Amino acid sequence: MKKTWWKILCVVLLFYTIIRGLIGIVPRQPILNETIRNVYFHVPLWFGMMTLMTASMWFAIKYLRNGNIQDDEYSVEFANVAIFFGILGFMTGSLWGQYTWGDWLPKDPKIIAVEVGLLIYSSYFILRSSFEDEQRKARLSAIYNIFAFATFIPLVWILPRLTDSLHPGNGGNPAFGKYDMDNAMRMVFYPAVIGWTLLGVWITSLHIRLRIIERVSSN
Amino acid sequence: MKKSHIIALGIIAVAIAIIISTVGDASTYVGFSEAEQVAKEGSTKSMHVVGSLKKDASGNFAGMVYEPSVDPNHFEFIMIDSLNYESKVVYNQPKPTDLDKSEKLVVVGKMDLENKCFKADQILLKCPSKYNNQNGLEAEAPAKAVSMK
Repeated sequence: MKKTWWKILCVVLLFYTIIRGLIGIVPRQPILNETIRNVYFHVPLWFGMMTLMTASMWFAIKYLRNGNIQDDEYSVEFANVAIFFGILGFMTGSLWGQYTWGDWLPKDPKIIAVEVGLLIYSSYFILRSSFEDEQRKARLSAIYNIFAFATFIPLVWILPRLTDSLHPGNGGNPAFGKYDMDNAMRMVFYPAVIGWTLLGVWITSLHIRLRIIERVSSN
Repeated sequence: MKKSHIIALGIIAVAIAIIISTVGDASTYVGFSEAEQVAKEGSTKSMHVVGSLKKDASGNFAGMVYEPSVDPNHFEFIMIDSLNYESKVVYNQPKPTDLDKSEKLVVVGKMDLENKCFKADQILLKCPSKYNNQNGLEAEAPAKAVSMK
């Protein structure tokens, strides 16, 4: 029970998000109309991705400090699921863009930045698979991981703000208040952020366990 | 490193280079004056211009022409860019729904120097960023009813 409470919380929060998110009352806004509900899915997926990416970099640094191969396994699986979340965020965003802005993939600075960011991360996995020696692979990919994270942050979260963007809150300097939601929406949005992040951690933990089992059984 | 990995990394590097180069020419948002400058230089690349619709004193849209019975594929309006330059925009497609309600819009296309207008190939609508009912449709509804009389 000690270790499962957060999994139960995750399931409850996600059910709540889906049910309240799809049938709850939302503000009526022109252009957005009912697509505003996507804010419960699109935005939390990016939040979850950032949490997972940060965790991945944290374990990369930890590996470089102590050379424990298990930290490398944590790092790569966090990155794996982070990219999976990123792709989901990209897809929900593309769908949203088509029905509001009027294009699946407009040449928007934020979209371009995220495409580049995800490509930088995808070369992390290619880099990993190109080494045979375990320690060497882990060391180089940990260094690359830090580099990828350090480019991702300014690329996706800072640069698009300096120019105009179709995304709300960009082309200015907004705080979190850019999601100027009413209280009914906040009641779904915040649980959604926690729920999706927990789901990401859960998926990652299963991947890590599989990886450890594989390593132990092959030795 | 195996050969296939080097090739894969090379492909990613090229993909990133291509994406970044598109940022360099087309995707950055410019004003009408810059779009005109580019057109004068003889370039045909399409530009993104951000702006809002021009309204006259009574709140109507100035210079907006759309008559589906005459030509459903001709729509023109006046847009003011972020540097306060205004230009006529011609869009040879049906008028996008909800365009009147858009806070801001992005027109993609190029300056037509002969007709002194901006020829748009695409119009993107920026969504409202305040997710509450204060400026929503419900607040707008009574005003509409008054204007009906």
